[in-house]
Amino acid sequence: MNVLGSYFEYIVEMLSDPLLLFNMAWATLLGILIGVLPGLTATLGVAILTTLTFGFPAKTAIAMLIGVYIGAIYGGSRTAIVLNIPGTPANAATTVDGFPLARSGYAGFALNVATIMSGIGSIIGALFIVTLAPLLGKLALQFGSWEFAVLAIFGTIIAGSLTAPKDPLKGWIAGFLGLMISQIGMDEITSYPRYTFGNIQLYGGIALLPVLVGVYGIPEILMSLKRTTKAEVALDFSKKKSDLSYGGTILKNWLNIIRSGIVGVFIGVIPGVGEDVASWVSYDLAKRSSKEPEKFGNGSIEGLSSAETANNACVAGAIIPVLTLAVPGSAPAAVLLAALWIHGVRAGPLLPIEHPEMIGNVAAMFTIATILMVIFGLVITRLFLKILLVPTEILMPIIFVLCVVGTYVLNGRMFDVWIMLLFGLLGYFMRLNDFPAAPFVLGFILGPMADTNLRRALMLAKGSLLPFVTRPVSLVLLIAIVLVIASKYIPKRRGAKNENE
Amino acid sequence: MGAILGGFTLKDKITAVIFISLALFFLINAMLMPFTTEYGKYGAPGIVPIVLSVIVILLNLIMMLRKKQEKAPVQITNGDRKKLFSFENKRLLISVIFCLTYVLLLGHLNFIALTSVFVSVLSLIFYRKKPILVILTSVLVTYGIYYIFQKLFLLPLP
Repeated sequence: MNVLGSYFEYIVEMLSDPLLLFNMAWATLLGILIGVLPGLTATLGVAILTTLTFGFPAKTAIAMLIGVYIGAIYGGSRTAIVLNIPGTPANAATTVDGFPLARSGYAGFALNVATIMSGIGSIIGALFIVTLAPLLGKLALQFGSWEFAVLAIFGTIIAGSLTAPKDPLKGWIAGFLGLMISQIGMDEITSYPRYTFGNIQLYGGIALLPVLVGVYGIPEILMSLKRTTKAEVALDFSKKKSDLSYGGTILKNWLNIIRSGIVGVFIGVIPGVGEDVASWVSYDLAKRSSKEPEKFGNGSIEGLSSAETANNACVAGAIIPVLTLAVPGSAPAAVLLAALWIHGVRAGPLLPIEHPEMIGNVAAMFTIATILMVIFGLVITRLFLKILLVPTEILMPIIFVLCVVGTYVLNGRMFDVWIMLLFGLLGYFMRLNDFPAAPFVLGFILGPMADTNLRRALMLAKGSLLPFVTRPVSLVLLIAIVLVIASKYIPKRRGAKNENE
Repeated sequence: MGAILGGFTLKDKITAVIFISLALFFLINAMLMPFTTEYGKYGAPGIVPIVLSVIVILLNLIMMLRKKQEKAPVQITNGDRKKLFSFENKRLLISVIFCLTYVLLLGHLNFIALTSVFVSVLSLIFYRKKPILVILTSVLVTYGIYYIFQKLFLLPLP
């Protein structure tokens, strides 16, 4: 299987399909718009477009969803730079240097640098899809029930640790709550209805999209509507960085860009850990290895470049485990996974066998969406910023309507809307108490995988737990779980001991 | 927010109690599920829910019983904070009531009329400027949503 060779063929094939290009173009543009609007996240964007693209052919729908995903992660940088508010959580690190640059009159330069770096990050990511995904796919073929069961727990724990670094316990609680709630519905092995209490609508379990829209959309709407403070807009394009060209910026930052791209991809591969973590980690690495660390936080181009390269590279990283393991690397990737199921594409270890063209196709879609994103970013980005002048008070009720409608059209029943609201309130409560949403959602997705595989493993081994430690991949994952938990608590205790001394 | 309010507080303990109650509900119901199946005892549907709910209970017990952390510096005075919180909570309550009423009425009233009224009223409660423009925007956006979903993509609306 030569994925790299077919990758270029697919790019040419897609470029010669005007209808596909048109659909990808408007989806990418929609993604940028969603990213620009604070409160509308990439997850919500991909979720709403999933419902809109029900009737589309699978290839077109997937290409559009990738477009909206990439566009949204990039679009958030616009708001981060001119408003000091990340358009999506992925752009939080961008605000640190982007906003000071914009404030000092270099808004245009900062916006364009972010566009170029996002483009480079995405291309690095696309290259990793064609090289890393087939390797991971081959490894995934060796996975048995033991490995999948441990992988589900490992994913939930690591997502909990990385998304709640200050208090990982809350991350783990969120993750296991998601795993527990996912048990509602008919059990896959015996078809026993669990926690349905005679309600037929619950027999099929709780659908993923209402949960995602609820947990990510509703808390943001409620938070925005109750907030009374207004942000400062730095739309000052008066100065140009005449001393530094865009080419010069890339050349000066080449190592930083490559490192941030690689870091972004690998953080993306980690289950449930998304673009926000990727951009912070690579920003931190860039600062540590910089010759001018004092500039970080005051308008460092290095800092801006690292954050923007990493978050877009992370998108590709998050898609890799979706394709090969059916485990999402981030929340928007989780919606993408659901969309693949809806369109009859069974992601996971068997994907390269059932759909051998899929990995190369996804990488090609990724590349074309990136090109479109860069073109739109460089040509009409300033026009998009006008949307920021629309008050949040008007925008949020509209977004609420979109959440309701998007959830309703999924199955044409109000039950899903109520589920969305219920999970929205749970998400709001969790956010208010500093519980991260990502591990909860990941746990919810991985729950059925954990359940079926754990029981199947027990049945195959007649109740013995020994294979969990005798099978190499399972053992490695178990050791990783222990290390992740230990790393969160041991240094803290040592630190506390030192403080006492 | 937790950091500003100061480490592990009463809030965490209350949250732990709520989550433990939820997990106990899952645990009790899992215990009532059949333990013998055609796939043997290891195929029992309650096994994994029992394991997961016990883990949730244990994790929350740790959260409930752990020692209080050092307090982070409070950035605003208590009086200001209380005033701000009560004002924000009022806005939150209004938003929740309006959103719930909108969903309750969906399917019973005409979608375009109901949504236009919902968007314009909720917007005007918090944004008391340019009412004509707000109403016009609400109607146009609602019609846009209706057109895109129902006409363009042929998806049924409530």
